[in-house]
Amino acid sequence: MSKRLFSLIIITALAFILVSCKKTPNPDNGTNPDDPNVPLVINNAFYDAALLHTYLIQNDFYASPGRIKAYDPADPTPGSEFSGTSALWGYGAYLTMYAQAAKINPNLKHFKDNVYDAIDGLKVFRMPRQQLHYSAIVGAGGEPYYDDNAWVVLGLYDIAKVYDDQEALSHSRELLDYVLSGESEDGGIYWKETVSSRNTCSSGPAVVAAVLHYLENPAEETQLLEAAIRIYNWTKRVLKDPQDHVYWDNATYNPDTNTESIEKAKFTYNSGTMIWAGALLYEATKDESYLEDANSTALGSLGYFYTTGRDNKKFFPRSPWFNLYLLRGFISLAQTYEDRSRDYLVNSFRDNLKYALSKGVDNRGYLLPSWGSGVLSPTDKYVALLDTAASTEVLFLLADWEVNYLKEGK
Amino acid sequence: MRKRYIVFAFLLSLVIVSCKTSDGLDLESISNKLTIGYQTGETINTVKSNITLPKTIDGYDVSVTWESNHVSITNEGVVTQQESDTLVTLSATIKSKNDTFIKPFIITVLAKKGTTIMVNYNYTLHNKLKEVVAEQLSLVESKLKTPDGYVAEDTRLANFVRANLWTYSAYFTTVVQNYMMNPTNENKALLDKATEELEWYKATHREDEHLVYASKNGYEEPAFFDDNVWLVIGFINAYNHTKEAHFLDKALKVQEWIYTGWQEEGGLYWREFPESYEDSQKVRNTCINGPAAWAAMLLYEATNDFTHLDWAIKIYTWTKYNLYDKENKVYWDNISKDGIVNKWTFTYNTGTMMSAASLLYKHTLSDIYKEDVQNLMDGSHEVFYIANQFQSLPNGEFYKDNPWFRVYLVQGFYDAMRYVDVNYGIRLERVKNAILYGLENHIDERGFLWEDWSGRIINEGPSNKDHIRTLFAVGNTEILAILAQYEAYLKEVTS
Repeated sequence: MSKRLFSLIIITALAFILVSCKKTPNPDNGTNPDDPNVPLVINNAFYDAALLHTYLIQNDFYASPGRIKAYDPADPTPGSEFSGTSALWGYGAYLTMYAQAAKINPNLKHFKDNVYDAIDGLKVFRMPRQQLHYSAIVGAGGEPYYDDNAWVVLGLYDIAKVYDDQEALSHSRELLDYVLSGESEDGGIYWKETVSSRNTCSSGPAVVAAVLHYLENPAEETQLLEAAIRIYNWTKRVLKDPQDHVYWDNATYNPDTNTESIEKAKFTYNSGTMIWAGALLYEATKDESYLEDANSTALGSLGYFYTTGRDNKKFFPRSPWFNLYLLRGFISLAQTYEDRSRDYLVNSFRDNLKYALSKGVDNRGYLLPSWGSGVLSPTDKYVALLDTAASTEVLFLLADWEVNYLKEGK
Repeated sequence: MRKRYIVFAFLLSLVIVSCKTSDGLDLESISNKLTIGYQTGETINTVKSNITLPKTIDGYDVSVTWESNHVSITNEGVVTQQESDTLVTLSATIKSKNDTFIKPFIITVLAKKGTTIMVNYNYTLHNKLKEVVAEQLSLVESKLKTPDGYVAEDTRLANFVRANLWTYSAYFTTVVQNYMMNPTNENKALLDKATEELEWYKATHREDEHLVYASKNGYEEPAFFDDNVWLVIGFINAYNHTKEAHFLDKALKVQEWIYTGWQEEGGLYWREFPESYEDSQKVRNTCINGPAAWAAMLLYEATNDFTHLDWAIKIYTWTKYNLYDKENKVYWDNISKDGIVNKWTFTYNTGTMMSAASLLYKHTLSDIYKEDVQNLMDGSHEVFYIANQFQSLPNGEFYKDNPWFRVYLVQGFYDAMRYVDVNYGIRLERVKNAILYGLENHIDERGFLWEDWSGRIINEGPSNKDHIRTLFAVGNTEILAILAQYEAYLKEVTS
């Protein structure tokens, strides 16, 4: 049995123990409180704030399945970029937010209903081609991005694990085939079908998704592990800054000079997915070099992104959706260490979000994208679904960490 | 009067030692069945006419003799009103064949009719505050409910979320104050409905027997002592005005649980912190200790049980020595178990300590409490009154914080006026002018009064007019209900 599967079983068992002795079912539903199908009452400040955000988002953004507004209030100026229906990028963030919500309280009707409503809504993004994949925007007028589809693969995978849902699992697996079809000759995944750049943001989540599905069925899916390793190696070789091990954004190959032209911007999610990929590859192969990679990138990321701001506190950048995937990388790596020696990575997010909840909430009750750093923008009046859903997902992840992983929510 | 308390506490302790009787009668518990007969409309705190002092207790072979310590009540129960309110201690001596038990009753004989109190500030009676309260409360009833008809947390979440306990306790005390101000059948029905809705918050999963309320259908942990203490105050007020025993019973049970929050080194915890919390997280707040001391005094008044007086003095004194800002004469927010003081100053903390001090003064007549009240009146005017930002309302005073925090400052002013010096009423008169200005000028499209009555100062909460919090809407309403009672009181004492 792989170590990852083993730890999953342990965590699940632990969750059941917690259900019976620490958390209490909610008898408001009029059912037997010993019934495991009854939603839990969770006493955790991150959970409470996240739950509130899901209500606010439903209230302000929801139009119909698949039709979620991108901004609220929408800017009435014609052609404004702060208006319109959410693209797949933001819609995916909405979907993965509910996936994490469902993970911590699966039987809460509000979560379960919205999870399946969100899956149902994907159909409005469906490209009319044989191979299952989704367009960047509603309808068939847009074009598909490998990375947008990769986030949906991950969301569907998480939902499948929560509800033991084979349909969601095969949906996720089928969509993964499209993401992996974007692999270039020597490993990296293109950003989308019509460009020649290969990006960390498409390659990183492709590796993560491939390893997760490999672990579902290691006997018959070895090709997934092989693809994951190819993509991982290319990304690490071309896009990792050798100075601090933090990942650059993308590379475009120039065949005339036989060189890669590198776009060296650094975003939290690129390092985050690669840390996550490293931790998962270690679980799948037990090759310690992956763990070393993940650790050096994690340390580099903390140094590069987590910087001192007001009140002498440290803050992550003003990019909640990017930060979300750095947190997922941190959590995955920290949970690899039974001695808890990497918990400090996750604690950086706990500190930042705790401060954000006290100092960084707007007058409607939404967390500001600055997470309390005070770096405000005039556009803050347009609440973006992408960032808000991501902040909410971060709150759910931290609640799950505190309630289920640290055992005693404290 | 001070001495009297000490003497009786001493006597009582002697008696308690010997309370197990040799003929098998427990005179102390029998003494609980002893009741004084009052004329209709009068209570132990509002005696004007002769009272009936029973010589026996039904069903027991005991005799009762009475001794008064003041001429305003004779040993036979004949009452003679004096120029001012008088506290009289009547001692009932209960004798069985072999034993004796003494039970004291502290009775307030009201001042002679026709005795007018001089009020040395100008006031204008509005006389229609009852209607204003009814209007604001009907807005809460119609716009701040979930689809199932329960109190909601705010207008934005009305479709999803039932109020948390803090908000619900504020709603409950408002409904109680509404009944105190205007005891109609309709208002009683509202109180009964609110009392029933409160049951959803009862913690039913506890291993102990305590009566505790909490958010999330009673499951929120750690439970908040302070959210519960507001309920205790609401219960006692409801009991005093309805005489329904279940209110007193609930007040006593919840208060008993609150006392379990007392720490060896002093002070009540804010929440029922488990051991696993770090010392820096285990905070002792003025917002629990102030109202707990005050609630203990109210319980002492309602039951004559000295245990609550002892608790009140103990809690009050600890709070004063640990959280009082001597320089500014207001109260700080909290002190953690490891001794770090959080020096935020909110109106309600100073307000509840003012109510506690006023009641302690009423019952002990100790100058210590009188001075405390004077200091807090000075300090709150200095620190909380927003003096320079609003000059165009000469007889109005706007105070900082959100409306619900302000409720307890206004209540503190009212208790100080009633029990210490009627001229403290000037603060209420000015608050009244300020809120009337708000009602005139700063009503939102739904009809709710803004959090900030002056319309100029940004409050701590979301001042978004699209987003009304139930906590603040009922806070404004409760203030108006207190002011209506202030007007009634003013009319009574000056007539």
